[in-house]
Amino acid sequence: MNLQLLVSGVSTGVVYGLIAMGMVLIFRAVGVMNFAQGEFLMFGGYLCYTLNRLLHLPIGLSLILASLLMGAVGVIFMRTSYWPLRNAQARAIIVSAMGASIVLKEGARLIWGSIPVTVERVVNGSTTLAGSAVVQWQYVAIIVISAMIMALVYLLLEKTFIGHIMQATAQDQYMASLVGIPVIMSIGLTFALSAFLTGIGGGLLAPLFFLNNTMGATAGAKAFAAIVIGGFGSVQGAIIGGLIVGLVEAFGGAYISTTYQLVLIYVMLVLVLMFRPQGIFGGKIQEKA
Amino acid sequence: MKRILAILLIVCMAFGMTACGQPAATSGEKTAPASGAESAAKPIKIGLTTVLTGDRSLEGEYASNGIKIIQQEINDAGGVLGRPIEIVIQDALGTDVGAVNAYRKLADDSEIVAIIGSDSSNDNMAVSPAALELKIPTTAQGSSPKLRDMCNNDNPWLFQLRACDETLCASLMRYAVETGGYKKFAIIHDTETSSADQARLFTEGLAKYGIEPVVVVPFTTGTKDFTSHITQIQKAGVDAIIGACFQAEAAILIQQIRALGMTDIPIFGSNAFADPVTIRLAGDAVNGVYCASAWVPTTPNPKGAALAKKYKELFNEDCGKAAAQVYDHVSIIVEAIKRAGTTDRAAVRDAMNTIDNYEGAVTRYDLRTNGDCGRGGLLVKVENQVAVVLDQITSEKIIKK
Amino acid sequence: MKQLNYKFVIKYILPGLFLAFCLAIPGFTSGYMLRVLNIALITYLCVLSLYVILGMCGQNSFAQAGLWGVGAYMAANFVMKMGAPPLAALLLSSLGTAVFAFVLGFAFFRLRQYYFTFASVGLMAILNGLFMNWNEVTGGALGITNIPSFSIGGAIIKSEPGNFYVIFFICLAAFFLMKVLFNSALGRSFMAIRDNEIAANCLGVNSLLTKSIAFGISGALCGAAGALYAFLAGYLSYQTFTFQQSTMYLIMIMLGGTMSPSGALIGTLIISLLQEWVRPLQNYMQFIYGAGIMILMIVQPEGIFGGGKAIYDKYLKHSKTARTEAD
Repeated sequence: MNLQLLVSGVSTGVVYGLIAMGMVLIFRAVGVMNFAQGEFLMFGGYLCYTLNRLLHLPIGLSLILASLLMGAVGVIFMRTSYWPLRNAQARAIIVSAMGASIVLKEGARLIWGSIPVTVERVVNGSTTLAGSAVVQWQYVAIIVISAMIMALVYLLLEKTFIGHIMQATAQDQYMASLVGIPVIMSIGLTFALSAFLTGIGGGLLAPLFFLNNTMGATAGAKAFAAIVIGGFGSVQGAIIGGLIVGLVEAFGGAYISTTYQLVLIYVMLVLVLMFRPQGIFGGKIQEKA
Repeated sequence: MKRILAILLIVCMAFGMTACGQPAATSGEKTAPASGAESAAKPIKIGLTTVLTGDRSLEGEYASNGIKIIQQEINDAGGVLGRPIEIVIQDALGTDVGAVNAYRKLADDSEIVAIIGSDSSNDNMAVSPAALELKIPTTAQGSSPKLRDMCNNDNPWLFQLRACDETLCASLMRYAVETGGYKKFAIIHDTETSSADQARLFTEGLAKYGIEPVVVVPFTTGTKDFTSHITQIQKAGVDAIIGACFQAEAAILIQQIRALGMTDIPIFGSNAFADPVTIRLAGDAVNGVYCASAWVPTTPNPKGAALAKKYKELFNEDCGKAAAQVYDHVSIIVEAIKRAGTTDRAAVRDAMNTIDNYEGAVTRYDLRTNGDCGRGGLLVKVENQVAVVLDQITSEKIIKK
Repeated sequence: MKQLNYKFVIKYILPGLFLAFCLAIPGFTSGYMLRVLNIALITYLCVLSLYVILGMCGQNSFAQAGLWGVGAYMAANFVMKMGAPPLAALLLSSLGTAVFAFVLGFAFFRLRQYYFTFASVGLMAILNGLFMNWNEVTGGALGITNIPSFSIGGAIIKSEPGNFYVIFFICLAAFFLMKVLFNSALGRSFMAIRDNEIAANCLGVNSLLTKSIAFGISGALCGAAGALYAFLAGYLSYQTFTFQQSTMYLIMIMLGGTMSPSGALIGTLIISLLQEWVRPLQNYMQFIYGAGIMILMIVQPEGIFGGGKAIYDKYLKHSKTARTEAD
């Protein structure tokens, strides 16, 4: 039973981690929580559905194309709801992101309807571990693909020139522009990367949890909890936070209460804030705030 | 300059609003009245509040489609009292405030004869005070026993045009215990209104046989991963699972129960478990699910079968419960208008109480008292991804005076 | 002289006309519009509570809809289980919510800025979970039905216009109380914390206590709003008091302008009316509504009241220079 819970906790945890990572990237770049991140998950899933089920492309190709398209969505999102407000106070950006999240949610409903849909799995079937725990291959695929993407993002940010440009912009936009970095391009790339990460999560989750236009809210809320628990502004923190949220959900549900499963996560969030406000990997927020 | 423009925009909006607020405001979906009678007959208006946007918009999609069918049918048959009907739709947004605002917006139009409430007991109970105050016959699509008592005791203007969950849940439990012979049950349910209510009724239904569920596992709406719930059920070692939740969750739940190795365990579920959406999403996993449902597209009811066929032809989807329900609600209101011979709201209300045996697409209706007007449902088993009707549930109406 | 006239007009005549207009509203609007306005005014109390905590004190809270719910359920329980008269229930629930918020403030304001905001998101989710599942007090997911209407003395106020006047006067009172608070020592210490917390501490402001008081005051406003909602709607369920509702308050105050109660009013009315105004669009309504929020925010980032004030200031300056030139 515990092994079973562990598998499910880790696999949902990595997806929360993917969304949380997208959120953190945006937070680091522009200093504002993106309230529409959950909607990226939903939109990515639906794009994958369009390619896979309506245009009948193979699932692997659809996943890649959908997440690339999400990159474009991220740029559009940045250009419409962040860029015009870059000099305004942070709360104004939060509000416009909330507006954008309604637009995305309702736009998806107008395009794809409100009947839930699904896409193909990357791998079918399941296996049994240690005699009792059943593991669906799709879960394994999610864990592997997410881990690969996380590693790639790490390499991109830390080892490449573009990554350094993005990090420089995140640290100080004005300074970055002085040394000749095109700030709009750099921030645009960050948004694209963030939407890409979250969008691929949508495509991966779709066959297990199905797609509907309101799935973003819950996922976004959990990713938010993951960030706070992991430590704001830290990419590793987001991943670890995502895993913690996933595991708390699984084990807390089994051993404490299923009624208050979501509440449990938030109680944990409040407790973490009380005793270690900077989160597990935090520290950077002090400079930002 | 930008600022001045923005302020002008807002002033325009404010004025636009006051214009919208006028009683004569007309909005909503309009369909031209049947040809030929344009000048002679002004359409009779019936209001519908349903959730078009927001979290529960699935309901609105079905309901608007159902409305298109029934409006066409009635108007092609010459309408009622020689006038065509027109259904005005307002969005209830899926919140209490939204439901009441939509209701009052409709109620402002004095030509509206009756209003159909949305498919949620919460919404129906929220609009109940308004119905009582404004004296408009209102039909409710919710199925909670609390709503039934409200209709029967507190509010003569509110009709629960649906079989109350009590009947369906009890008969499903009877089937599970008497025919199935199961003794150890686990209940898993959403904590949202109707599901929590149904879970309670399932427990009561079992209590009649002296059976107490071994384990009850509630979950929050929007839960996607049921591993921790299902492992608890597995640990309890039951021979049947009872579920109550909406379509998307039901599909995930069924799929995960099967995936975690309980491939043969029978599942007894609320309405949504044999819904076309659930069946399509969950695929093979849904086979062997039993359900006491108000509506399935494979219904043996001739009127219902005709509706399901027509819906499939027109919209290329299986007909959902909300579509069939609004279909019946409109027909019953039209029947009441016919009986009353007038569009006066009070007369229509009184006429509704005289309808005691009306065959609808979903079930038979008896409106002598306001609550629990639908007289039955269907006992369904899903086989090869088709909902097969095992039995028709009917109950006699208890009228206390 | 001329300039004084402007000031006089802006300060007294316009508000006077506005007040007279408001009092006349029930005379010419429909029942539906009145209900929308009633709800908007109740919402205004909640947005005003956000003005205290965010506009004055600089702490962004997402828990206001939760406090609103606490007030509403308290009022319903006072009236239905303990038989308190509605007026007493209104005061008690307002007080109760204030105490609730004040005590929580002590725990939560150990966290600064962002962290408090995060914790308030958590609080909102926890409260909503309780509203949904605590059967004994909140009636569970089915909620509480048949809450009696508001009454003063023996006079039951059931009609929509009657409720409008009650709510309107409470809002008016709250509005002026906020003005008083703004000019009081307490209000100034709120603003000192908003502008520079460390400096405020140096000047002897106990920031933990002060912030908790601000949260308590915002709780009192939410509690009153909750009680009014309970009496107006007659039915409470968890689906009213959600995180979305809290975000709506933030949208309202940001659009109106965070710096004054009037800004909060403008924001509340615009968003409440915008939502009803887009109704004829049916399926597209929320889509356009979301786009509307985005556009308004982009065009008017400092809020509508802030923008209007900027024009007014510019105009004043302009007329001043014109006058000097004439001299």
